[in-house]
Amino acid sequence: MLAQQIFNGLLLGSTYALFALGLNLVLGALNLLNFAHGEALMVAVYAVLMLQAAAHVSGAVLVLAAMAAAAAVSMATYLFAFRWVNKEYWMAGALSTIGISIFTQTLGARLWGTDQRQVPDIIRGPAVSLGPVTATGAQLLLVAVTVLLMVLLHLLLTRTRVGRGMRALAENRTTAMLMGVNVERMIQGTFLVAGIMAGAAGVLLTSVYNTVTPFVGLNLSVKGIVAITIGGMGNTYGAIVAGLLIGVLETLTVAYGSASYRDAIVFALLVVILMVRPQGLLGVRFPERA
Amino acid sequence: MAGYFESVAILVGINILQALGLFTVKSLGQISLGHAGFMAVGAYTASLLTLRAQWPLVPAVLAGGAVAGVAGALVGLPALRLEKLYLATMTLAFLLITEVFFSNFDYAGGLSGLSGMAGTRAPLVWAFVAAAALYFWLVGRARLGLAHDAVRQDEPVARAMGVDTTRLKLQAFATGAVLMGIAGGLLAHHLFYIEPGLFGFSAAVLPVIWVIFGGITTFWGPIAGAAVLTILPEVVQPLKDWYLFIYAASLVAVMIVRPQGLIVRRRGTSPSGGDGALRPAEAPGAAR
Repeated sequence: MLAQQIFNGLLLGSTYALFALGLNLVLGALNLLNFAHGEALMVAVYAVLMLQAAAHVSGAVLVLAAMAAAAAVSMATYLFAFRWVNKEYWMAGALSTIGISIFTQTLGARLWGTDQRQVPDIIRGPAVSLGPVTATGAQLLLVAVTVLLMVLLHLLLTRTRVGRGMRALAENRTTAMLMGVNVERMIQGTFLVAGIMAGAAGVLLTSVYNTVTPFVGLNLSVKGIVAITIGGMGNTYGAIVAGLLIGVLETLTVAYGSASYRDAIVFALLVVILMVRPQGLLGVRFPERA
Repeated sequence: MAGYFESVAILVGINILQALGLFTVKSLGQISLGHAGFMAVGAYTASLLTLRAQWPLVPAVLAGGAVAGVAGALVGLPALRLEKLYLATMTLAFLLITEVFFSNFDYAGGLSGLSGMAGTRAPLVWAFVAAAALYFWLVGRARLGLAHDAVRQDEPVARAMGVDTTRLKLQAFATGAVLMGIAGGLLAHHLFYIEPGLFGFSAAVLPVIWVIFGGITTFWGPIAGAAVLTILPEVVQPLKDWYLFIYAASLVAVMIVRPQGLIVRRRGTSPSGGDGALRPAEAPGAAR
């Protein structure tokens, strides 16, 4: 029973981790809290719904469509909250993403209605028994895809020129520019990768919950921000650890405590972390004082 | 029709109180995304007092403000050790915790909230607004106001000059919470009902938008911002149907075109100078 709950928690947590990774890339490279990241995920899920209704296509096509839709939202965020915003004002970009988030949400509610919509399974498969844990084929695929995406991100960041540029940018923007990194291109790449990961997280999350409303985005953004704060802002591996931790914690609270305290426990964890270890679990950079 | 005008007047007053409550924090270069949580504290305290203990409205609202102020000091104490993005995240967490708390607080109705509160009238609301404006006007003329200006413009220098910045910030945080609490109590007794969802993230963002529209160099900015943005959708009916779109789009537009706010005291016209905008000198974390 406990093993099954922990497995379910890790499943949920891996989607949080995937989602938080994108948020974290943008934060690490640009110091921008992106409240519109969840909207990329929301739009991706509705893109899947619309495509499913319009045509009979394979799961792979649906996943690609989700990634493309989320990447489009992410690139719009890049333009409206970064490219065209004066970087001298530290909070302007984040506030702009709040505006983008509310705008997308309201637009989504007008286009698709405010009712909860069922999302049919994109991936199907028989249940498999692994010792004390029972998993469906979809869940196993989910784990595989999450791990694959994380490995790809790791390889991108550590083994490629683009990844090196992104890390240089996160380290120090001016120095990166002086070293010949095409900074603007790197920033665009960061938003693009973050959007793609949000789209993937959206597909995976629906295979956990099977429902969606236009209002899921903001809540997720907040949860993702909580995750990267717990893990250590800007730290890639911290985001993964914190995402998994939050997933397990939430699932266990629902299973053994009360569903109504699911969110409270996560936020309480955040408060504790901020008090005793403000740099986050795996963070090295201490929050700077003004 | 008189009832309608009074209702708009009440909302404008309550929104001005909220804008001022956030202004005290923002004017020190801090950001809070959780001030709606203090509003919830004030609203619930005042409502429980009038409903369950039969208190008259004014003492109940004042008590709500006081409890919110204590909550503000308690949240502010650890939160103000943090800077910028971390403070924003922490206050956001406080807001979400308040929402969960009131949803599970059965004595106060849980998820369905409380109903049956009444009695908020426009003169009462505007008396509170006048008192708050008088407070800010007096502070602007006192040493406290100078200290605020100093911290906003250059915190390390202010600290070096002997300004106790931490105490100042804590004081501002608590004062802001008191104003939010009073606004919450008044709102509860105007709407006749409250529920936890009323004080969620969107309620926290609106005052931020008002303050940004008004700017943070003088307290008149937030007052103007709240008044204009509350009245405008009432006057122009199409705006009412689309107000969330317009709010959101204009927030993005203002951040792009005029991130320092719409009403800004010109550099050099104030004895202390500076436009109070959050420039890199005041926000080293952002300069990268």
